[in-house]
Formats: sequence, C-alpha cells, structure tokens
Amino acid sequence: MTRLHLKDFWRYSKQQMEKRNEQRVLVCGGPGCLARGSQAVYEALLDASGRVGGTGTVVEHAAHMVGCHGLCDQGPLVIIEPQGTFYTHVNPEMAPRIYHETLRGGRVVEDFLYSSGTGRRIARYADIPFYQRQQKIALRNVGAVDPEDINDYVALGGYRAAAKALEDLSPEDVIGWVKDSQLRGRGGAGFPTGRKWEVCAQAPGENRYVIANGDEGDPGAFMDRTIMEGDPHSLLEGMMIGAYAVGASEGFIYVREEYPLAVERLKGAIGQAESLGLLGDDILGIPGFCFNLSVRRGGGAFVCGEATALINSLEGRLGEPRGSYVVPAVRGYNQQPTALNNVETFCVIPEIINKGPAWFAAIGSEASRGTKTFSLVGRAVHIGLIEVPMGMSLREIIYDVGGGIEDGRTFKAVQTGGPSGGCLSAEYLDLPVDFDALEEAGSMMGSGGLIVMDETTCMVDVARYFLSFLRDESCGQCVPCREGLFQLTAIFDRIVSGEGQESDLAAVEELAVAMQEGSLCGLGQSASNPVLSTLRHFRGEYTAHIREKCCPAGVCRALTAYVIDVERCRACGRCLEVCPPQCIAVSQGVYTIDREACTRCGACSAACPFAAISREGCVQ
Amino acid sequence: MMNLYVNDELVQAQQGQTLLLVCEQSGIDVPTLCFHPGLEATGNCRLCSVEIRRSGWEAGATDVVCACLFPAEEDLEVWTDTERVRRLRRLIVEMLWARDPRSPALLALAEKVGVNKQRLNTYGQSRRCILCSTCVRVCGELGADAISMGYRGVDKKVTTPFDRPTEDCIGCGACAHACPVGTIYFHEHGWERQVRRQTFRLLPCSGCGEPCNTSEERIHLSEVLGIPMEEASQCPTCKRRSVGGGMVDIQRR
Amino acid sequence: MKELTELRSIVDKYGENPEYILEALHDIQSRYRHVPEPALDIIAERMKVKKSRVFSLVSFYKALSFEPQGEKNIRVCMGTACHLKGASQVKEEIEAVLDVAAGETTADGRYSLHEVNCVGACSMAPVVIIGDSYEGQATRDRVRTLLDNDGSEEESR
Repeated sequence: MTRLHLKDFWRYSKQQMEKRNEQRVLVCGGPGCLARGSQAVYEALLDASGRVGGTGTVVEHAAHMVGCHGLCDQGPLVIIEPQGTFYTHVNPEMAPRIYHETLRGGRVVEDFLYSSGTGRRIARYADIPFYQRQQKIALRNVGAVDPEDINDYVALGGYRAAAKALEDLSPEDVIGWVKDSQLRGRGGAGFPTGRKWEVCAQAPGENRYVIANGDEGDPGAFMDRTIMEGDPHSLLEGMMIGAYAVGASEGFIYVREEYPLAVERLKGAIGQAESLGLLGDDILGIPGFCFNLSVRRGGGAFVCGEATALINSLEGRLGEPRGSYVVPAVRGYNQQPTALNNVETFCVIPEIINKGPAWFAAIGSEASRGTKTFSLVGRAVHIGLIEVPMGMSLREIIYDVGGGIEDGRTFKAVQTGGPSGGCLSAEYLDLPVDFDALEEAGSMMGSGGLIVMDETTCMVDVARYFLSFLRDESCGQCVPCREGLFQLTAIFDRIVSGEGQESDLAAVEELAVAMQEGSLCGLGQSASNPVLSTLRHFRGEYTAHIREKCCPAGVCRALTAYVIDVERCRACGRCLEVCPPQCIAVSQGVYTIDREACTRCGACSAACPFAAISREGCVQ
Repeated sequence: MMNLYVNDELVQAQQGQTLLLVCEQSGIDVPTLCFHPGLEATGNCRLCSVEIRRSGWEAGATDVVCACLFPAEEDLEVWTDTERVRRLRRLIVEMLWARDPRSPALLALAEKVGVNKQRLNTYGQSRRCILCSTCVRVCGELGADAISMGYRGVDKKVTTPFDRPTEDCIGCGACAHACPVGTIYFHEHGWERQVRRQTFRLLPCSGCGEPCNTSEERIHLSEVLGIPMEEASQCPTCKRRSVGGGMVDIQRR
Repeated sequence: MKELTELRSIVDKYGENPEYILEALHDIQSRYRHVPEPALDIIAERMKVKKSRVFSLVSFYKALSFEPQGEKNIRVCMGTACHLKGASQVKEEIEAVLDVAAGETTADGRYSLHEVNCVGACSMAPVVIIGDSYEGQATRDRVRTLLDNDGSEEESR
C-alpha cells in the first residue's frame, strides 16, 4: 500500500464505503463468544460456504470474525448484514443451514433466532429489547467491523473524522469542539476532556504526548478490552485527532497484560495505518504532522490504571502513583505535557468530529453528555456489553436492557464503579446514571462495570471481596491505603467469621474516612467506597453478622450451615462419597451433617442429584 | 513572592515552595516522617496532611492535601491543626504504630499527636520498617541504588535483590542515618562496620588515621561522584579542617 | 551459557532505553516461564540501571515471577461476577485436585494455579482458563473431570 495524501484518502474512503451494502456474515469473536467456541462456528461457516484450499477464501459471502456484539449470554452469535438477522447459541453443526438457507436461500432459520422470555422469536437484533434501548457511539463499530482489516473500518466511515480535522479544523478548533461537546473522561472520574486537552496544549514543554489508558483492571469491566479487540482503529483515530489537537508527535497505548489479543490487534492496526499514511511522519501528506504510536504491555498491576502510575510504568519505573499535585496534562510522561485519556474517551472523539459537538451534547443528561458503555454482569438475565445514553435510570438498564433478574429472583443491589465504586440498593433504582448522581449516592461511574446482585448476595461479603482485591493490588506506597486496607480486611475477616463486635463498625468508618482523606492517589481515596456504600445502604446486614452472628444471604461460611432436607433426600449416598472431612452421618437411613466438623466446602450440595442439600444462613 | 495564610496568619512564600517549607519558615510545626530536605518528596507517610482552601472555592469548602508536595499559591488558606487534620494524623500514627507496637520513635510520635492506646490490629510479626522509602531515596541520590522498594501492598519491603548482600552497597550507612524510626541496622566496632546485614572493613582516615570509611565508599565517591580521592579518604573532622567545607553527603550533590 | 546468550539477545532487541525494562521482562518471562536471575544482571548492564531496580519491578508486577511457572497455567477468574457465582468453591476444588494453593506450581511442574482478576468473560461466570481454553459456568465436578482428562491426555501422548 502507498501512503495516502488527503485527496487520495477521500477517494479511497468513498470506494470502500460503497462496498458496504454487500451481504456479510459476522461471527462474534468477543471474549464470551470465543470462550463458547465461536471460532469453530466461523470455521464451519467457511467450510459450508466452500472455502478454497483452506485459505479462508469464501466463494460468495464475506464472513468475518468481529468483536463483541454485546449479548454475551446468547453466544456464540452470528449476524447476517445488512438484514440484521441474529442467530443465537450457534454451534458448528448449524453452519450448513445458515449458509444454505439464509445466505443462499434468503430465508431466516426460525429455530436459530433469539427467543424472548415469552418464547417469541425475534429475527433482527435491532428488534430485541436488549438492543432497542441502546445507542452506540463508542461501540459503533464493535461487532460490525472486521478488527483486522483497515479497509473495513474505512468502509464504515473510518478515518474521515481525522481527515476532516486535519483539512478543516485548527488544533484549537478541535479542542473547542471537544469542549463544546461537554465530553467527560470515561475512565472514571469524569474530568472534561476538552479542558484537559487545552491545559496540555498550553502547558510549556518541548514535547507533548498522547496516551491511551487501556489498563482496564476493574473486576467486572470489559468495555475497553472489547473496543481494543473489536475496533482498534477507532482508538487510533481518536488518538490521532487528540495528538493533532494538543500538538503531540508521539503516543502510547498502555494495555493490560491480560489482554494479549488486544495487543496483537492494536499492533496490527497500527501497522496498517502506518502503511496507509494515517500514522507516522507527514500524515496524509501534510508536512510536519507526525504521530508515532506504539503499544506497551502493563505488568499485571491494578494500580497502573491510575494515570501517574501508568506513566511511571511506561517510563520503566515502579508502577506507583506520583504524589505530585501537578497534573499529567502539565507534567506527565518524561515530565512533559501529556494528554492521557481512557480508551473509550478516545473512541468517542471521531464521532464528535464527524457529527459535531452539538449532536453529542444533545445526548444524555445535563451534567453528563453522550453515552456510556457498561459491562452488565452478575445476576441479570442478559449479560453483556451495552452502551446507553447518560441519564438512563438504573432500573431501565437492569430491567429493560438487561431483562431483569435471572431465575425470577429479587433485585438486591447494583455495584457500579468497580473497586472505587459502591453498591446501591433498590431505592436507588430510579437514579439516573450520570457522573454526579452516582457520586452523590455514594458510588461512582468508574469505567463502567455494572454488577447486578440478587438476594443470594451477601453485601458484607461483597465489601470484603473488594477489600481483599484492593489489599492485593494496593501498591503499598502510602500509609492510609496500605495500612487502612490491612486493618479493614482484618476487621472484615472477624465479622464474617462471627467474631465481629459492635465497636467494629465505628472503627471501619473511621478507617474508611482516613483512607478517603489521606491516601495519595485516587485509587486509595476511593478504595473504601465499597465499604462505606454497603454500610450506608445495607447496615442491617452488618448488624446481623455482628449481633446475631448470622448471614442472611447464606454466603459467609462460618455463619451458615449445610442442611439436608429429609423430604428430598433419597439416601443415595453420593454426598458421603464426596465429603472431604467425612462429616455426614447416616442413622437408620436419615442423613445428617455434623456442623462442627463441616468445612462448608459445598461438595455435598454440588454432588446431590436431588438438590436436597442447601446452605442456610441464620442457623445459629 | 506571594501571599497566603497559614493558620489565619498572613505569610509570604516564593513560587514553587511547598506548604511544608512555608510552614517551617513561619515556625509552624507540621509532623512528618518521610520528608527529608535533601531528597525529592514523595508524600508516602501523609503525616504532613493539612487542610486548605483555595481562593474561589465555595463557602466552607476545604480539602486535605499533603504539605510536603502541595505548592504554595496566592491567597491559599492553610490550616495545620484542625480537627479534621488531627483525626487523620492520629489514625496514620495508630496504623504505623500497629506495625511495630514497641517502636520508641512511634511511641514518641503517638504521644505527640495524642494517641495514647493501641487499639488496631497488629501484624503477626512486628514490621519495624514504616516503608517511607527515605533510605531507598538516599541510596539512589548517592548513586549506589543498592536497595529498592520490593514487592507491593502489605508485602512491600525495602530490599536488596533477593534479600542477599549486594555488591552495589558501598557501606556508607546513609540509609541508616536517614531512617526516621531507626530501623536500619548500623554498627561500628573497631575496624568493622555493619550496615543492614553486610559487613565492611573500615580504612583509616588519611588525616588522623582513625577508622574512617569503607574502600567501597571511597571508590564510589571518587569514581562515580567525582570527588577527589584525598577528600574521599578523610573523616568528616579532618575534612572540615583541611577543606573547610561540609562533609560529603547527599546535600552536597 | 546458551541461556545467557539467549537472554542477551532478548534484551538487546530493546536497546539501552530503560523504558523497555518491562517489555524485555515480559519477553523473558514468556520464554522461560519465569525471570532467571542472570536476566537482572543483563538488563541492569544493558540499560544502565542498578540490579535493585530490575528486582523491584519483577517483584512488583504480578505477570512476572522468579519462581518457574508450570507448563500449563490454570487461571481461576476472581472477578466480581465470578465471585458472586462461586469462583472460590471452584478454586478450592482445583486446589484439592492438584494439591497446591493458588499461586503455587504442582510438584511435577505441570500446572501453576493462579487467581486472576476479571478476564472479561463475565457472561460465563465462573470462568476457569486451563492453558488457553476457557471453561465457563465452571463447577466442582466439571473442573475435576477436566483436570483428570487433561492429565490422562498428556500421559497418552
């Protein structure tokens, strides 16, 4: 490929876009679908369509492995465009019918379609409630574009925003547009992106840098992974526009080490963009506009998601946050002005340039404009990746998009913001999802994990889970975070083992506040949020653990017991075989568990063919 | 020069000065463990936290910042001893004290900030180091870089590679002298010096002939830091006499 | 000797810039399944930093280890969704089957067991990754069967 000049680019873009109306078969290659075997489905489709000599050439129809389409619990997914036909739970045996009946015959295979709760079959994904309420900006191409083919991205209008910015807008204009769009950073804290870029552009420095934070470490969040794996060029284009705006000629994408596919896809995308003249020196033939981009792997440290820790790690130092009060936009990488944004933030930029700031600012709520991606996980019926306008209520997200709580159980809490966020109870279901509303309620937007919990979840256990996660991940640099987490986990360990005391809650609150006020970085300052929010909204559960020595949800081991339901028990003896401490006794055909000896491992319950053994809370 | 207020008194500061320095100049005591005047501040111990209010903030809005890092700014209001600050400091000291309940340095500090009993959870085995990283920074500033902060979180510790004696250590003992809680072992006996777990032989001072410093230190001073060997082989007393300058220490660089 | 030459050539790829210590360490870790001690000296010498700095990086980052890892990594996702759906029980079962604790390697060097933070496959929680293969909706029975089969497969080869 030759490096394109602006004029050639527009011609090339037009050519590619015209090809888009052709029929395409998209096989979801998101993490969920891949894990369920979608690669084999793709291969089977190629086989069915008569690939030639194993080279992957498809005779008539273009089959592509694409990024996450969103509805992970229904995977593996196969989508036929432009019709939007949506097949769920696809296995390789279904491939010949998809090929012959749908692709060649133009008929929908009824049996393969999505089935709603009421058993109604829905042919097009756009008509499925899960998708109906969504609006995709950051995820606009994910699940539609072949992430390994720059032509496909260009066919979807890719790099037109970058070309437009270079041709029609000055760097100041770009910053002005981003400011007018009122875009706030999608990494968690929600700082206005335009202002950050302006500070960076105006700060004194010899060089400027653009960095994308792809160190997505929140448990329960996989939005950035999905974007980097499913639509890497969007990120590249957003960064390129950012580099133009702030005057940077070098940039980095810092990717979590656990995402090797993202690293591979991004490196591939960078190579393709360079060879087309969209990255490197004199981009699109414009003398002097150079932007070199490279990918760096993280080392497996949650704290490196914090901006200054990320920069330290990038510089080959220990990935610990910097205590300095000077922001990276002024003094960041190599002590130079650095525009560091989250992956999702960069991915939104091209659409703002394409459609204008007013278009973006018209979406969402007053203080939080645009859309936000979430990974909706936990106990919801539909689990997956979604993007909704800001300001949508938690109820709409969980019930309309997510389809409610699985197995007909009751909603108990939703956790947002990962280890920096908090748990909100049912009374907050009508809370609009925006940066400020969530923070006021004691939680946080965070990067966008949304974990739905039902009555089988113990909130004390959830708080303890986040504490132990954070204790393992704290860098240990400052006292309040390191020692606070040590102290809090020690107290929580006591509470869940039935040794909690009334005075513990006061100590917990005191320590939690000290961590908020005294910690060096944002992660430490927010590390006690899961504790404080559960204490605020679910205090009763704490007192049950402490006073009654009881775990109402039946989760905390020491406070619960396995009980055999004599009505259901068929005396098959399976539990006896699997019980590690051999604590099940049989007397005249009646099985009982010795509570003292039982380790609550749950092996008996898992092995019982008659579901006669269950774990009970509040038994003491 | 700029004007700001510390504990409601007008004080002056220069551009780039930190609040800790401003307080010190105004004779206001702000406790700290990890701050060392010759080293870059890190803000690890958070003991020097102070409450501030920036001009233009809403009425009543204040924030807590770390004085050793926060730069002075025009019209800033700083309070070093509010209830909010005292509460935080007390808890920081309590948490550190729980690491090593027998530490005399921490006991003194606890008394100073008004902590009189230990109520927090202790570690199974006392952890005498407070992980302030002063020793590591001193060692780095000297160019030896023999020790570093290893591991992370509660497992973090000051260590040499694999916790073994390291040839990068020059036996200067700067780490031990800089330690705010006196945790690092430093002992001299005759012509022998022990630093951490490494033993060094001392060479005589070229002036008075008394045990002076280690040959590793002399080589490091002359080859890495470019200090003439003559000077590097003298004890502080003889050096003062002959050069009239200060001793070779980190502040010299 | 061969190892030293190989280590040098891995490190040499990155030149003298200490920014690339982590990248070089990643490459070394994936080649040897751990970071051998001589690597620290080679990196220190090549990138002109002290060994203590390289040591602190390896000990800080979870992706790097001084202890050799097993031929196959078993990763149990401890993400929030997996936690809610019983990841701990699954982990305990694996610990019992392999007779190791999380973070350890089996005596025969075949498996290393790790607890990992969210792998982004929350839709199939709880998730266990054996080698490169994802196992969703993992249960005690399922992982036991998988590990038994995995073992016998390797033996029959």
